[in-house]
Amino acid sequence: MASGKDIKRKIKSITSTRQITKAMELVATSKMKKAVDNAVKLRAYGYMSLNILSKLSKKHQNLHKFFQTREVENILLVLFTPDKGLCGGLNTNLYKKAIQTIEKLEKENPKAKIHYVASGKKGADFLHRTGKDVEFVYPAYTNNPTFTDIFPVSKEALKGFEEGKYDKVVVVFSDFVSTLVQKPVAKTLLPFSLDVFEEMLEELGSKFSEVVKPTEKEIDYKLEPSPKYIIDNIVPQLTEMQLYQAVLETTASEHSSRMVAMQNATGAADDLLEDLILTYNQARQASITAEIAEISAGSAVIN
Amino acid sequence: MKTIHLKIVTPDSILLDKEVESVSIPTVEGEITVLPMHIPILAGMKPGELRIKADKKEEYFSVMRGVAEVDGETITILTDAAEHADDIDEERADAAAKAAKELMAKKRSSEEGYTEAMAELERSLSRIKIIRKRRRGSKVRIDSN
Repeated sequence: MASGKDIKRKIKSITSTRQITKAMELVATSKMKKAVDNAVKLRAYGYMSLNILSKLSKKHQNLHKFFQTREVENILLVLFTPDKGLCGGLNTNLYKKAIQTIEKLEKENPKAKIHYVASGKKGADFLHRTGKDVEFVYPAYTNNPTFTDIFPVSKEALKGFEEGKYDKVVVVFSDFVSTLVQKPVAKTLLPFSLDVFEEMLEELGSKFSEVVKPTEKEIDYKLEPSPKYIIDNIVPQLTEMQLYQAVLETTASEHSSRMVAMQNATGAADDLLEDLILTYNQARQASITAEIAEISAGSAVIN
Repeated sequence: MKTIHLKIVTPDSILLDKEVESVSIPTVEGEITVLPMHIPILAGMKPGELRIKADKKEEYFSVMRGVAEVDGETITILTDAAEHADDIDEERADAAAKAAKELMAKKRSSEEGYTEAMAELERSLSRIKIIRKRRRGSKVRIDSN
């Protein structure tokens, strides 16, 4: 049996680890509330803009480059991850999804070159590790990101697509389903087509249909004040909104996933401590018993 | 009376979701009024006042830039921010307008900052306008009683 001193040292180290995980849990909990709130609030707006885009793309396909599918030579993959680890399986699941998506893209477009942009250090590290060329790395926008915070990413994606630098833009992010469930999702941002929209509906499931009822009808919109205004202002804005939504969902996923992970860690530390304290007390009692036995044996000899 | 479904959605919430008789929307080219059975239209919106008529009552909202979509059955208004006229705090709006003016003077050299400050000024002025107009409206009503 380990000596009392060893056990005591172990107890001390686990106690301090527990303190850290507990603190991280509390921090994640408070951040999570805000992040989840942000993501959920934006959903109605995000989904409705997606819906408008889909309706617009049905009838007005030639209106905007964003709606037109063209020969794919260059693909942009944007991977959204947190900057930090210690959040359970979130990062690993995102990596898996990214790999799947890359493989799928390579199979579908064998000649195309894939360009990588990462938002979040973890994703960037992962892409480096797998030998991909990461062209830009942006920080993860984890602390209540605003719409303008993601401009660098959206500019690269939207401008790049418009100028013909990329022919397809795919984003991989984590969709926040609940505190316990976060689902990694790959979404084609551009070009925007009905197939993409249906794919999205499948991924999002009931969350989307609660907000928006997609219609089958082809709607011939009158565009005010002019088609050009819609092209220049509305379509990019609605598309940027999709990216912003992805960022908020990832942030919400990160904090809730970290909270759960830290909760588990704290629980595990508690279990360990309980065991160790029991062992420590047993060891202590054993040594006291031994001491008493020695003393009484000694006194028996003297008498 | 025939009605049309109206949704006002901002990044923060679904502000309004109900049947209305008519909606007047401040579009980039001027105000348009949408009645039930309106043809599908997609219009850019500028900051201003949005009026709705429902149950024979008029309600006013302050809306910011955004987009109005009418698909024949529903009207969807997506805007950066919207507020019911009764909820606008005039003092706050005044303070915001003042702050925006100061910021504009300061940011004269940076194009991005200047545009942003100008947009902010436009927003707060539109809110002030709505609340002043509403107040005048209610005064007139008191006088006529």
